[in-house]
Amino acid sequence: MVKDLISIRRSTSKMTSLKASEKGLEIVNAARLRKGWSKSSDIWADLAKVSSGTLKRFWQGKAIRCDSFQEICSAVGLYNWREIANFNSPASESFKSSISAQFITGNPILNPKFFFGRELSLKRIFNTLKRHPLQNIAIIGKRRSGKTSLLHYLSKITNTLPERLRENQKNDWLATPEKYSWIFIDFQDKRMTNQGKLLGYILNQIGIQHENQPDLESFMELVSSNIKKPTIILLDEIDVALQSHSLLDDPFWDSLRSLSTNYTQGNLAFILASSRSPVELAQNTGYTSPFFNIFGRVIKLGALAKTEAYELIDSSPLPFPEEDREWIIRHSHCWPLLLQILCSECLFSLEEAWGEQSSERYDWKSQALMATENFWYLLDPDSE
Amino acid sequence: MIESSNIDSSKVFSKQSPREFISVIKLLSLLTIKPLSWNHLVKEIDVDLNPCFSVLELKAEQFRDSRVSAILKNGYFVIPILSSLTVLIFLSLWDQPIESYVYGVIFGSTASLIISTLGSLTTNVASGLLIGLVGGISSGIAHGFGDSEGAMITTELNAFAHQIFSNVSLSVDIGTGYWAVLLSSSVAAAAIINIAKSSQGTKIHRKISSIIFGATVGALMLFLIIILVSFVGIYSVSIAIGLLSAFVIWVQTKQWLTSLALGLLIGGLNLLGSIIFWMGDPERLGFTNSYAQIAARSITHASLESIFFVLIFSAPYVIAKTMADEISGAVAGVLGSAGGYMGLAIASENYSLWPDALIGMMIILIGITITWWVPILLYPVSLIWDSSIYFIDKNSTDKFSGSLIYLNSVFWTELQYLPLWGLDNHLLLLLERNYEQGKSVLEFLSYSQQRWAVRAAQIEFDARDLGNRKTIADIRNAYKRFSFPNIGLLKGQAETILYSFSRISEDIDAALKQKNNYNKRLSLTHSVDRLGALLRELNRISDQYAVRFIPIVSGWLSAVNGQIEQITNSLGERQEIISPYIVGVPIAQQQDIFVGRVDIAKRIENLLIQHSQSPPVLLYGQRRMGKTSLINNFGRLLTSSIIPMFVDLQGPASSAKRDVGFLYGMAKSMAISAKKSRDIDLHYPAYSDFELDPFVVFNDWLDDLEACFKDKIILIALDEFEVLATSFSRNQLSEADILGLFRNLIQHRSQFRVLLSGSHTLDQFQQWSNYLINAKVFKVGYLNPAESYQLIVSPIEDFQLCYESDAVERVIQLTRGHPYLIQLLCDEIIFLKNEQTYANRHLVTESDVEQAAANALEVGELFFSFIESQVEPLGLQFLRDLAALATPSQTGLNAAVRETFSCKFDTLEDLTQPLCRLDIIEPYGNFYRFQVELIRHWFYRNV
Repeated sequence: MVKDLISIRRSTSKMTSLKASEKGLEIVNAARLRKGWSKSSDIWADLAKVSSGTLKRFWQGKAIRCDSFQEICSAVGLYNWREIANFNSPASESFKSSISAQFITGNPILNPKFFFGRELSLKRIFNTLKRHPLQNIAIIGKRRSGKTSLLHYLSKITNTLPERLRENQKNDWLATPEKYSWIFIDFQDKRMTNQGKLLGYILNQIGIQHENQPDLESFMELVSSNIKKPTIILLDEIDVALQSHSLLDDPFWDSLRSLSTNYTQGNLAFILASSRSPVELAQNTGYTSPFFNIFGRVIKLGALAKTEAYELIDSSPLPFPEEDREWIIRHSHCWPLLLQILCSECLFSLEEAWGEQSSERYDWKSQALMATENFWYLLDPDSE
Repeated sequence: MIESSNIDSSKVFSKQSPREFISVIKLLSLLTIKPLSWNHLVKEIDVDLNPCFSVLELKAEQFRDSRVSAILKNGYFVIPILSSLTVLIFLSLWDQPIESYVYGVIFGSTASLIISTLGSLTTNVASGLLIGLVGGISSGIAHGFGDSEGAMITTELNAFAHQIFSNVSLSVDIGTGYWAVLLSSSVAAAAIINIAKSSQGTKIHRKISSIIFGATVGALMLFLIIILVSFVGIYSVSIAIGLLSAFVIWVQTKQWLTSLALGLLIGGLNLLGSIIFWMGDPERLGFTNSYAQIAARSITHASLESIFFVLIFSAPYVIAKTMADEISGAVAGVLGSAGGYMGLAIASENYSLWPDALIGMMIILIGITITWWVPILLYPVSLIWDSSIYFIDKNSTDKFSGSLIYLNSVFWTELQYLPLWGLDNHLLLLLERNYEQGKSVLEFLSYSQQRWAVRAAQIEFDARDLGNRKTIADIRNAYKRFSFPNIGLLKGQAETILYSFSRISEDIDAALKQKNNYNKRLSLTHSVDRLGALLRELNRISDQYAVRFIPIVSGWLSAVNGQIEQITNSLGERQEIISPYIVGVPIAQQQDIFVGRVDIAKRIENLLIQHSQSPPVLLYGQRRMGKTSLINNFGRLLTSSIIPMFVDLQGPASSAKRDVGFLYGMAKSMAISAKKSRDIDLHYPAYSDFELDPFVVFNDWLDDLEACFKDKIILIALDEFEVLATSFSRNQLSEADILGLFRNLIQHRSQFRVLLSGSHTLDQFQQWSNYLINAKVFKVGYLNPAESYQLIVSPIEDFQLCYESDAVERVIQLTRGHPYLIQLLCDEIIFLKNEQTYANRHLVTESDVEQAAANALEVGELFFSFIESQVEPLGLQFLRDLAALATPSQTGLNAAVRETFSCKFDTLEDLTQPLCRLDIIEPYGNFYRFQVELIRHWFYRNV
């Protein structure tokens, strides 16, 4: 019964869709004209990782998924998507309430403002990236340990102005952030496991004109002669890529390796995220390519530091009672996902009590624990 | 618009209070040549007051305003006196009988008083007062000259009525008053047109129809009055006038009672005048003195005529004004009164169509258009005058002399609509000499017809100001003193550009206020983007001002970029130690971090040079041992007579699907490498050339190379050689042809040498043995202790980190000089030290090394797990046991231990041999040990 309740609530918060307002579309239109894109530009759709149909719906002012909406906006350089969304429509009603939801429990964190912790890992990564030649990094962590969020954070944080961040949130990781370009590849996106589409996407992102679906040979030629500034390719869910290896074969990985080591003057690096050691993965899936050999550094994602966990807890718009803070730390073991879930349950209960003007809260702790049940594997040191 | 500019031209220069005395001269100049100032004055009295206000519209508190009363006093007292004086002076110029003087002067002052009073009541104050003066003077003079009885409108009406309706032929001279009416009404119209702002909202057809309607009504009324006169009698004119007044006032005020009362009053006065004038002989009224009789007649005559005149002007005026706007009203007024009157005169046949009507028309036209033609007449004079002032001003060294500008013609007439050439320069001069004064002058003139000069001066002044701001400190303050108080008022390309400057300056100011340098820099970068965009925009548009601003933008760009550079430098000076180590990526020639390998390079060089037909060189070694880095650095390690050309076969070979691509890729790689290692620009055939016959083209190219570098040796270094096997097995490349090409290279091209590298064990070269007869094998192994020491202690010049000697020893011991592991470990040491306090940061102790080594196992996981992945499960078990048994000091194992292993593994040799070949372990004493201590740590950790 209680579980049903939770699932219902989850589903409503996931149902969040947004549509653009008329004024918002004008802003987007101006922005895309500056970029020189058409309304149905493939580059745009690629960048935002949405289908052209979704982009079309966006232009028609129809409701689309909230994350797609944000991606479409940020792809064209507009980070304040709230300005573009139409909040007065009923479809956005449910979202309106969840804007206040500080804690992100389902999807990866796209807005740097809501990303917490990982200070040491970030330091390691950016220390590596601010030097020439760029060096490659593998991020390994269990499922739901926050790898994707970290990759998104890497690509955004250095170019985010302080007013869009929390107070004192560090963003000065790189001395010349504007010189870097970041390419995010999510292998869970089916198109990314198609070699031609993937290569085309990378070329688009670097800003190289190319024919539709280039082959490996022309890709190598184009990239090696066109990369002039530090470019970092973020490979998310590489496990998926290796498992569908019929399309991304050894020569593909060999080429990437060769590009990075010999043909881009140290201007190309990869950061991969995986839940298992890629060497092991490659071996298990029959790859012989020494691609993974170039990852001289591995960063393992575990729990957050305690101070970081407190920082996350204290970001709640309604302050948590001291006892709740400790309870959350104790039961989350500082794992970011568990922290987010427990915090969001705690906040929800506080909001409800506040709304009903009562000091009594329902038994949120048992609901919260139930909601985290599926992720307890994170706490098991032997699990993968 | 007006709120921000409560400035009178006189106030720009004087410090008078706003409640100053308004002299009649000033009032008249306001009404004629300074319509703008009149507008300002009215707005100052009350913002809601229309410049064309009538006395009826004034509220009680407005009446109390000293300026209003000053205006009215002037109008009702000074102007009549002024009129009579003028008439007197004028008449005295001609020899006239004394009666004429009396009649004319009294007529003038009475007419002036009545026109002023009634005009300001029924039309508006501005035109009422002006027409009072003009009408008073003109009619006074006319009547002074003329027959004192003949020039009477009402007489004329009567006569005219008789003429039409009674067929009585009467020849009455309409009189000199005719001209006075024409002139007065057209001047009144000009005054209104001047003062009133054309209402933008009213459509032109509505204006025209209102004029026609107004004028027609005016003419109809005249006609009605004539009918009244002819059927009812001359006294009914008073009734008509009473009704007309009531009507006009009602249209203005919409108040029945007031209108009726005033209508009754005016009608009554008119009747009284008529009775006195017509019924009673002045003598009978007791005026015995002939002068008194003349005066009485003059007063009544003037009153009747003036009332009638004002009403036939104001009736069409109020109608058209109500329908459209004041300007339409003015035109209708002229057409209705003067035009109607003229029509009347012509119909009475006293005046002919030619030339009288034409002259009349001309007078109307000249009167109405006075605003347009006077400035043209004045223009040349103005120009000469203004230029002289400017010249004097410019050459004056007295810094206060900038105030001479107030003599500029723009300040004595606001009517000048032709651009006063040179005014912009004068304004600029003033701005530069006295900014504050200049600003108020600009503000005042920005509402005048010469606003073009204001705009030009402002833009040029701002451009100079912006252009003079060379430093970032000046630029950040630019927006604070922009001379554009009304940026939205003057619209044009230049204003947009200036606005961009202002905003960029504001952005820069905000950026520099950021607390930390990083955000400063980030924000400044955005400003650079905006300046860049502005520059592109300026280059694109064709506005005349764009050219003026391009150098300024460039100047700003370089200033902001300079600032960014400065901040970047200071960011670089942070206290943290920057790691020079490169982990996992081959080291290129231009990187300082490459150390050692001199011996192996020397041996390779000797081999390449000494034999004219040198065998191929095989370079092998463990993964990450630095084979590719060594090849990359051949450029500086080998003598200059050898040109190393590096080809990563993983690149072109992996990606090429045909021989064409492969050979093209090879040629391209060789060319790039030659450029890097020896700075030689090699031209290589295009892809399309290769498509003709790839091997022939490639061989031809090799011939060219040979011919080109006759006394040199070309070393083709093929990295990741084993990749070719995959391509051959997939039938993407033709094995026979490509290997044949290599064999040909080795055997028949004496200038070429081939070096192969890639595999980490020698075994894997076996399949190429056919082609690699006599190959000389070089193993890339661990760095020697001296090289290791250098890499640890001074990897680059001015390295900030110091090691205790134990710490260096420990690093060498843990890594055995494995280049990847040294770099990995040392990089971890730097990371660790950067986390420590500043005081401890620069000295590495042994315990730091231990701590970093533990971290290095985690960070280098892929390297270690790759080693692990090469080993069979049994071998792994052996390695783990060995790792657990061996003490960290590697003292070896005793025979008993060996015994244990022999029991455990029947064929120990079978097990250890591959491990030795993989360079993981080596025989040591009577057993084995790990070659590298850190690798032992890995296996120990994973037991």
